[in-house]
Amino acid sequence: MSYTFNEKGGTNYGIKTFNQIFSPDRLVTTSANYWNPTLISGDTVLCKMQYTHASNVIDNYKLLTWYDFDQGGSVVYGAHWIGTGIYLCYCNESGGWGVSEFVCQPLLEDEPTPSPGARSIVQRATTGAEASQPMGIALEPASAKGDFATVAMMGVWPAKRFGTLTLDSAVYSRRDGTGLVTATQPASYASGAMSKALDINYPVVSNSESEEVNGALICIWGTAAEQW
Amino acid sequence: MSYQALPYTYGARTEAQIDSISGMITGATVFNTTSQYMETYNGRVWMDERSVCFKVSSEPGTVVKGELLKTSSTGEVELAVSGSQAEREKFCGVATRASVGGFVPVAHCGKVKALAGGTIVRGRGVIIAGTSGRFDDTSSPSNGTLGMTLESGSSGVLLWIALQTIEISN
Repeated sequence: MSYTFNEKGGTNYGIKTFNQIFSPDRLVTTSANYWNPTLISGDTVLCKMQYTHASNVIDNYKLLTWYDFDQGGSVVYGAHWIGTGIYLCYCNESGGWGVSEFVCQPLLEDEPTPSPGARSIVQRATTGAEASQPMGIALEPASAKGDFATVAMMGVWPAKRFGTLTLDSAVYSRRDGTGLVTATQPASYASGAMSKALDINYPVVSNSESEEVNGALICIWGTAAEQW
Repeated sequence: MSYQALPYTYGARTEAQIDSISGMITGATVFNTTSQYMETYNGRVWMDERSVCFKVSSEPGTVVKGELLKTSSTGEVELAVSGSQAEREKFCGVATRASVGGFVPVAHCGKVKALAGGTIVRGRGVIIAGTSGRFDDTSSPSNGTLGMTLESGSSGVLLWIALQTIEISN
């Protein structure tokens, strides 16, 4: 288990790319991102995010642990890759969301059905007020309301992008229900800034056919703007 | 349980010991007993969960541990200095090590050692100082505050701060 295989950097599976671990085409045998190991709760891997920065290729690594949230009991939450700043969240959208889409945690007056338990209730922002309460990047797809999927609230992750980003200003969530990130703040300058772009052109795999859409590699909490 | 028992590639070592390691390969891991974070070698610098690797701009050229940094329009990092709202938006974090070969790991969150720009009192807000690369404290945290001071000390000393605490004012 876990951290004992020193020839692989101290993890079970060594280094795998973000797409091998999370992209929608990772289980397709003909895909370049194919990776389908039999995982056991406690297994570990280093997730690699490679970006081009000032004409230099730089690798970023994130330690992930495969964790069975039900610990062998009835499947409620399932097993997921987790790590520092990654949380299992409740999908509050009937149509769900895709990988690398940005979700927010709006104020809700009523408890949704089915029950979210103690999990954060998140959805893609549809208003400026919702976008002003950013949560993070969805690492797994959700297909229906009540699904549980992991969301990253800190660190370096690929995000689907709208328009053009710059390298020295803050990134925000769109408020049109698309889950895209944008350079345009949702309401005022102070509201909803949650990251900074490290690579402003980082294609994101959007489906099992390996089709790509515009994206960026962003660092959540990589700016001071949310404090301004 | 003892961190010494964690079997990362290089086990558990002090930061000085880690910095003296040679021959490490990309993906090697070690537990830093000084910062108390697991670190991964990315082929250029040792990174931890708080950090992103940036290229240092030709000005200043090199960066020392604890300096506050901002990004330029090309994404390279420069020393942060107090200024306008737009300048504060460029802030990207604190160097967790001195730069190596023009690259530096930069913490964007968490507990980190930063260089004080003046006399610092524990429990106050952290702001970018007027001296390049340094931080100052404020007893009236408000817009533009980066985090909180975790210890007291004098100008030019590396002090613990917590970056990106809960938003203080809006």
